Amino acid sequence: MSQYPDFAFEINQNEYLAEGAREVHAVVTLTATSATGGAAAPAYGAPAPGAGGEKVEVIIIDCSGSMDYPRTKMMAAKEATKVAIDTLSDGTYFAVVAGTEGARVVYPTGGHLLRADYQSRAAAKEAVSRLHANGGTAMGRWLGQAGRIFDAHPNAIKHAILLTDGKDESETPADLARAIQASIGTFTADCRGIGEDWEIAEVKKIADALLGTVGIIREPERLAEDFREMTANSMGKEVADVALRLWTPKGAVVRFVKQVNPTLADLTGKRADGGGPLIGDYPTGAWGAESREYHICVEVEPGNLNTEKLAGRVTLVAKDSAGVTALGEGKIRAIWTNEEEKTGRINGRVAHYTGQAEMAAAIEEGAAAQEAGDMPTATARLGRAMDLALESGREDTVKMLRKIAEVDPDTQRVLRAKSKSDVNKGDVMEAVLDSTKTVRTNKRTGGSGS
Amino acid sequence: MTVGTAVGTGPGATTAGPEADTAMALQLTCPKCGATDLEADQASRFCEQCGYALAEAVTGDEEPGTAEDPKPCVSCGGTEIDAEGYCTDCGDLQPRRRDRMEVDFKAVAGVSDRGLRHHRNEDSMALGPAFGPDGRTLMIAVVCDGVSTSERPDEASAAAVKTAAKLLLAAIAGGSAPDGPGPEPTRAGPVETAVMETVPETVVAETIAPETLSPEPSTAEEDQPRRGRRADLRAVSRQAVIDADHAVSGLARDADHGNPPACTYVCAIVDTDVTLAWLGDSRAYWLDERGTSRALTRDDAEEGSHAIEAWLGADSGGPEPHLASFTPDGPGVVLVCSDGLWNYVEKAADLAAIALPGALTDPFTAAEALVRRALADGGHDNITAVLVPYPVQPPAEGVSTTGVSRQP
Repeated sequence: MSQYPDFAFEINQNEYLAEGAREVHAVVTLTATSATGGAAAPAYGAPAPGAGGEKVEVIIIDCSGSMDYPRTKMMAAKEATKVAIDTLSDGTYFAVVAGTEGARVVYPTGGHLLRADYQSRAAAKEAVSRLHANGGTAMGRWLGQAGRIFDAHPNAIKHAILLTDGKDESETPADLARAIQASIGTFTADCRGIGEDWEIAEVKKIADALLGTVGIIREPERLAEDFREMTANSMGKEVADVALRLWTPKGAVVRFVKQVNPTLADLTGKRADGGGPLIGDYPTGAWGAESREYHICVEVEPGNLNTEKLAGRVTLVAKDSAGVTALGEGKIRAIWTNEEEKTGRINGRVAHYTGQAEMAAAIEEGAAAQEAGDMPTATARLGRAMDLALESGREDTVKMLRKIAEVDPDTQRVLRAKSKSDVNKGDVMEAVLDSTKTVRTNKRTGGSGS
Repeated sequence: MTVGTAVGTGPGATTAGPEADTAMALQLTCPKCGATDLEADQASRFCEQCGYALAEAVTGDEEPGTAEDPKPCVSCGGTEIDAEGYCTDCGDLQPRRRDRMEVDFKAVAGVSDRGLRHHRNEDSMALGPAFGPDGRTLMIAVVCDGVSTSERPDEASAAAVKTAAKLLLAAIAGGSAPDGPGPEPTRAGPVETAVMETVPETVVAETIAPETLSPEPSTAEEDQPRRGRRADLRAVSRQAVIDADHAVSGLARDADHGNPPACTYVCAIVDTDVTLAWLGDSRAYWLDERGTSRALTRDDAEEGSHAIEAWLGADSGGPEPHLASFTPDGPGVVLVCSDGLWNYVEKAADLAAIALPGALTDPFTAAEALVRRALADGGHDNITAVLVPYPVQPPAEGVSTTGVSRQP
């Protein structure tokens, strides 16, 4: 591949620190513009953008017995898979896997992948029509099967869609963990749970490791549109493996590197060697024409007053068979000063995403406490979440929180968390998952962009 | 004109040395590469070694042309410093060229210092001799102070002084304002000699009337025909401000959050008269030993306030600069400075007491003394002081002018 999207690189931070302060925060905004002029979501049947950008899509459908209870789940899964197949760009290699306690490739059956065209789409949809629900759930084996399919196309942009409706019961947690570990870095995956009988934590482990999203489908009829969106998004990718390369000075500690928009995803633990002890690579997966934001926090040795230290140098790098290509660069600075009007300004974006991350954590912790019957903690955490949701104008989140906590009708503040028996499990799951989606802010007061 | 020969040895050389050899011709050391055979003829003044054009004026933050030995990191001793000046080991930013800028042309000199409380120097200066088409030498001094609440004020002031100085040097060399009546014919030999003797004493008292409107040279010329040239310099001064405003405005970016780069402006052109232009609260003073030292500018700010009301930059609204001119009645020195100096020493008489009489013959040492005083008193802001002794030393045989910019 020689064509990469153009990346606009912006760093927002307040670089001024009070004497002795150690923590430096910055929000990196990356906006990619298509190298091929293609839109992020190509229309039906559009040719794959980027001549060299070979793509492979694997759709994994849970075919465990529970998918027939209610039957609408299996019907919706088939319909959605067909929509996804129709959304594939011409020329995309693709496969459909039926997941049970095993993982059967239902299309193609010939052992090697075929490119999407009229004929292959029709054949694949025909195979999908014959799917039926019968068996267990072993997501680790599903991932293993997908990995074997992707192996034949090492340089392609590889993406999987995984749909489940239940817990991973047909293998051990260790089996699943091993399968996830083996998949890291070879493909990305977006995961969906249909109904309310699946475990967010379990599916989140897969999606986090494979740099994808998790979503809940409460009404089966909405699955098709969701699959269409995920597939179109995947088709818009132009570069497979992009990483944030972060240099930090000797003695510094990287507190965290998080994607904060469009969704929250902690990349801190995914650090890989970027060429030397001071440089780490944080994977961001595949990119098309899109914009994302990352919140980076570095702890450095405090400098003397009125001195400046480079707290971090962020480089966006594409890694592929051609090697490593730098796509953009920015600096995270630290300047120690006694000028309080400078150190006192909190950068608007840093504050905003700090709040969004805290809100998501509060909802997750509040929901866990509610599940465990720890009502004081549930009330405190959901109360904090509500305050933050109101502050950032997240009306949808406010509505969701009202379903799982009792709220003062006048002030909108949380009075107490509802007990587990009084809430719909799906409402809780939805609130938890929705909170990982963030909204953008235009606030940039305090410090500078560069 | 003559071609200069070596006096300084390049950036880093000490120029505050023994008495200038009055037998030498005009000598210029290239501020960029340190070469000492700076070409200085009528139209083009450039260094044959590196092509540096003197028409770019000297600001003190020129890159040294001669390869310097890489210095280890001042914090950790690391040996690798990246292109932006950060240590690749500990990340500490190395002392910057702009933290302390020193320029010594003998006939004009300036010092600009970061001070003790700011993390960078947001002041800029440009100074040097300007050569008229008739062979006469004028001195120019421009000082700009970046507005600290704007984005990248350091870039604003640097762009402003460079752009203004370039216009000034070119326009003075051309003999008229860019929009003026066209270049004057080149005249051989000195002109307008003995100005001081012919100026009535009353001129000093009468002239300094800061104006907010554009100059009306025709009226002035009718009253005092001898002011013909002065009117040109006012037009040139005004054009320099307009150019500088454009340059600073051009630095604005979408990401500036409504605070585009901005800076103050003050400029003195010292000929037989002194022509001033300014915006904001950077100042010019006249200092002498006859008790007539005084401020030559009036701040664009409320008394006692640091909130300036006029500046250069994208949000300046195309300000009309204040223009003024006067004819000194005897020897003295023009001081052009940022508020980092006058915040500590505001009265002209107090400034004169520090600078004089040394500034008459060694403006560089006097500028150092002024800056040292502001540092000793707290150094809360960036400090810039440029001194131009009056009368200007003419570039005839028997005068030595050396220009060296250096960073300690």
